[in-house]
Amino acid sequence: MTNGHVFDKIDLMEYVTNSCDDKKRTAIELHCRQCPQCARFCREYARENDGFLNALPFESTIAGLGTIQESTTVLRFRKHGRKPWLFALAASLILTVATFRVLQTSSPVVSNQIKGETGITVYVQNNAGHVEKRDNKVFFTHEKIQFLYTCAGYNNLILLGMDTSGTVTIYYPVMQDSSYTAESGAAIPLPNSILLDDYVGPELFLAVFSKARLKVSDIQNQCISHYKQTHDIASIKISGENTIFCPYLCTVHRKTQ
Amino acid sequence: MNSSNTAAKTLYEQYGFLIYRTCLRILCSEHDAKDALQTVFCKLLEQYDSIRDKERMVPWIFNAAKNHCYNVIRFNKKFLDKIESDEIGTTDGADEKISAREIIRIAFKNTDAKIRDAVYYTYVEQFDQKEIQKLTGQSPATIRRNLKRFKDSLPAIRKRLEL
Repeated sequence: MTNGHVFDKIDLMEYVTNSCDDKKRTAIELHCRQCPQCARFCREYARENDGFLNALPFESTIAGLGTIQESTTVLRFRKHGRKPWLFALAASLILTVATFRVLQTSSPVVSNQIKGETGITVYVQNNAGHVEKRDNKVFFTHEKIQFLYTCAGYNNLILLGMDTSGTVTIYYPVMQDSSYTAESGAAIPLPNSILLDDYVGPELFLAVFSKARLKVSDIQNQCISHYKQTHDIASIKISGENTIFCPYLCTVHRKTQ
Repeated sequence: MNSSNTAAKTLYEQYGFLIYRTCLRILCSEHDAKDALQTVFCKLLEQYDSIRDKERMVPWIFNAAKNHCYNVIRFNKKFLDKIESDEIGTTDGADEKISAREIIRIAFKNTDAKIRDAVYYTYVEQFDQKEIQKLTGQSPATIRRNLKRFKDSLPAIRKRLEL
């Protein structure tokens, strides 16, 4: 299209997406009147665009994300990008994973977070900057938590948090409406850590693993309806075929000075 | 629908398809592409105000979608298992005989992002060097050099992939 043409495909894409200025727009329109090849490109693109908007309209594809988006941003937790401490954690994990593997071969794993070969473990970077595994499940405000998962086969993961007000926060997947595809393996850190904010009280983290893709809204609704009945985050259960749910109930205390 | 939703819908009608199309070409899965569309579109909404040159939106979209999809692939080993063996071409004449999926698979084994970009835009999007220069800033000479590097690395990569 570019050989002998004034405009290349990028120009035409800018035109069809309405991204170019009026001068360029007029020039492209004039050019398309004389150039069947460019005109066809624009027509085809417009036709495919229409098909796309019919198949994946804004209302069902993006607008529905509003609630999830809102909950992830308003929530008391904030997602953070990969942090340097994560790499330090990764180094310490090598030892932990090695130990975990040795323990796995010598004795059964006794943990309510690990079911068979699927589950989560939690590490925390305390306010002094040290990384530790908190067996008592007590955290402090402004600490960073890192989730590690273990899975084989149940590779579709949703990680959410729920507090005593019944608010559900989706951590994984990030702003998507179906589950995060997790790589098989043991003690794999999730890409982002979670920074605890000022909330104080019980908090339930719930990892749901499944062999099939999960819809975030389904899991979210199950949690909310269960909570409406029981008002007890500790008793929340997720049901589903080929689904494993791993609750991690912790308590957040105010940061000590 | 409130005003911010209306603005978002307008942006979606403008760029949704371009995002989806790019993601679909890289991820080769409608479901994954839809997920990627949602993520990249949310990123667009977040960053739209800070994008100074709105006339450079197309390159921005390509870049954001491509980078996101590369990250998805990185975390999704399953992607590699989806490649069907009957789509694998021969080593010679990479431009004609290797399918888009295969090119992405092999290109992704190349750790150099510039080579990946040159390969992706040349063989999958089928842009010419001037167009690639617009999108990536690579000069035609650099693009040619990166494509040559890609072709030179093919036998080793294919051996590594046991093709």
